Amino acid sequence: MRHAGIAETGIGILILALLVGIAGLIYIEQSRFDPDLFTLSVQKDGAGRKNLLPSPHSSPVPAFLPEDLIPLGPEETFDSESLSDKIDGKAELYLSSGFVKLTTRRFALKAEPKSWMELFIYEMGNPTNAFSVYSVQKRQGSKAIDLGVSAYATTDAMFFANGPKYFELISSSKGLEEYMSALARNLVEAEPGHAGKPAESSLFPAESLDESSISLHLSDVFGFSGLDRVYTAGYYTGAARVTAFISQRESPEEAADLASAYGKFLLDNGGSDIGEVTNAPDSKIYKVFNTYEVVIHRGKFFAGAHEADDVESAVEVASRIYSKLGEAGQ
Amino acid sequence: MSKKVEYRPPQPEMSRRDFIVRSAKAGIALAAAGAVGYFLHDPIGPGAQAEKSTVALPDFSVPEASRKIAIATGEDRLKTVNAALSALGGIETYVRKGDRVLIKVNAAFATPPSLCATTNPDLIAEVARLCLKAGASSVAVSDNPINNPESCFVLSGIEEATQSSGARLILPKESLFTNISVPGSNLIHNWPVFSGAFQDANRLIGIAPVKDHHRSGASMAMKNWYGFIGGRRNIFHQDIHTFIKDLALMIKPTLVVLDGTFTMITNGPTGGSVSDLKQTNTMIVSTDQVAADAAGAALLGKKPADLPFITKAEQAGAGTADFESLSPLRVSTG
Repeated sequence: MRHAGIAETGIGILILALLVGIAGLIYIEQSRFDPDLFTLSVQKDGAGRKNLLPSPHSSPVPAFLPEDLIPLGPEETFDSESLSDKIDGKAELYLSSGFVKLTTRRFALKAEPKSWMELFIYEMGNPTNAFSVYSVQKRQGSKAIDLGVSAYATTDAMFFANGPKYFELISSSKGLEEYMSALARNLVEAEPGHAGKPAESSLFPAESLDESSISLHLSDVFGFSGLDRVYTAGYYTGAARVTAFISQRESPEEAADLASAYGKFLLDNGGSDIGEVTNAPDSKIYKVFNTYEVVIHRGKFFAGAHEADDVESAVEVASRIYSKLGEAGQ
Repeated sequence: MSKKVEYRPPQPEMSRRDFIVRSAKAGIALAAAGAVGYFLHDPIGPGAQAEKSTVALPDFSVPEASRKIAIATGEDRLKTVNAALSALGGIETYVRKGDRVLIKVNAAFATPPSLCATTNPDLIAEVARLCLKAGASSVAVSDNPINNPESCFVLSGIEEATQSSGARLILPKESLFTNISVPGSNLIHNWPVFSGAFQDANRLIGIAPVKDHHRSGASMAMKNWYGFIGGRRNIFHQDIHTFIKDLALMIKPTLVVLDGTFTMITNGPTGGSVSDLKQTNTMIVSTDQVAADAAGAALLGKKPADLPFITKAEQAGAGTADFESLSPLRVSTG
């Protein structure tokens, strides 16, 4: 009988070792089997779920709670697996923005327990992510509030970002502003050191800027999968409103490449190249259906104006951003 | 330079005996592996409930009512829902003496009624009263919420509204779920459904608010049936438009009531502030759930074609996206 050579023996041993390794991996994976992923079990009865029925005085009082308020039920936490159990379809917004954990709790007025509010604390991993989820959900017609951090209020709620956390305070009825403000202040003071605005926001020229509109979009910006980490801001130029954008890239080359790739994306989607911005080298103006897009880059920054109804206003805003980026040393 | 050739001693050829022995060993090894696999195979699968057979859900539509839609405008929900129902021939056309009515509401969240993330409690109470007045022998209100059911029904005001109207609340319990498969659906196969809620019902009315939805673009009449689904249902968000179409195939309602008195136009489906709402003063009542959603899309500033689930549901035969073809009965309550 022919004897196997050294190479054949070696290959044989290698294959056997590989099979043993695969068997080991299968064993480990099956031991971590999560029935929830595959089981067709029904949802549990009420008692098995989170968001328990509120009841006053049921748990310790957190240090940040103002005197006028009492806890209405225990604190609850949700991770990336369970986030949709609390906020359903909106979970995707947070999960795509670095979500780590959500902690919620309801509080009621001590003097009137039927008036209550719910606190949501989203831990987003870093201040950029927190500012992003804060800014993209900003409500129209809201008013800025002075908490020392990015914050605004509506008639029945308050929203603010403090460092890596995004906070929502939602009340059951109007008229609880005073109590929500006190709670919000305590929450900010409990975690100081995060005052200030994102550095990029100062690069938007101040004239006719709607400062409250500054938002950070983290991915798939303007429908282009190659575009991420973009700050947008609204400008009022006469009767027209223009959305300006700025994104800092790793290098001037990347900013230039991105401007080119975004321009190609616009052309591929029905746009046409109709010119350039005077005094902004390598800039482009595109007409996309009935709107105008201005794309510039300077230094590490990719910027411009998005979906403007009026080309003159779009060019004017983009030109000012170009100048501002120059003043900033780009 | 001469090429170096490795010396290999001559190898004896394999004998017939060796070949048979090796083949037999290989065969035994394969058979053993197969036997082990067969022994370990679980024909039921993890967690599938073999004891609960697949059942079809009843058809709750009223055949003689045909496909109709009414769109009432006005600030007062109670007036607009009454006006829309009257335009469709009155609730008596759909609910008769002795009928057992189930009202499927959206009680997904433990949030106050002011946010309009859940069905308005006054509207539920009014429809329940109308059904009882029309001679229904029983009216039940139900949903399988995202959050804890007791919290949702209490904080949304739905429990109180249900009780005050003379209806009863059906809470989701494990015993009320049955695995079903929906003919023609892509995703609902042997999946737990809250079938116990309509076990005793012969009429089904869906009442839903009009809301923006981060994933599907809108949450309206068809999406409301999501609350009949059990299990780890959030996985269906991965193909939400197909799933909503499947829901429309699963449920054939008597009526759907789409409340656009206030429309949640941003940050749906939870909202979070009255600032997410726009007063749109519209109540849509229809026997055709696809038509109702197509009409409701305009309240969100969208066209039916902007919402793929509407097109899919129409193509699947669940209704028509061309609601104008039903000659909508438009009424104003002033």
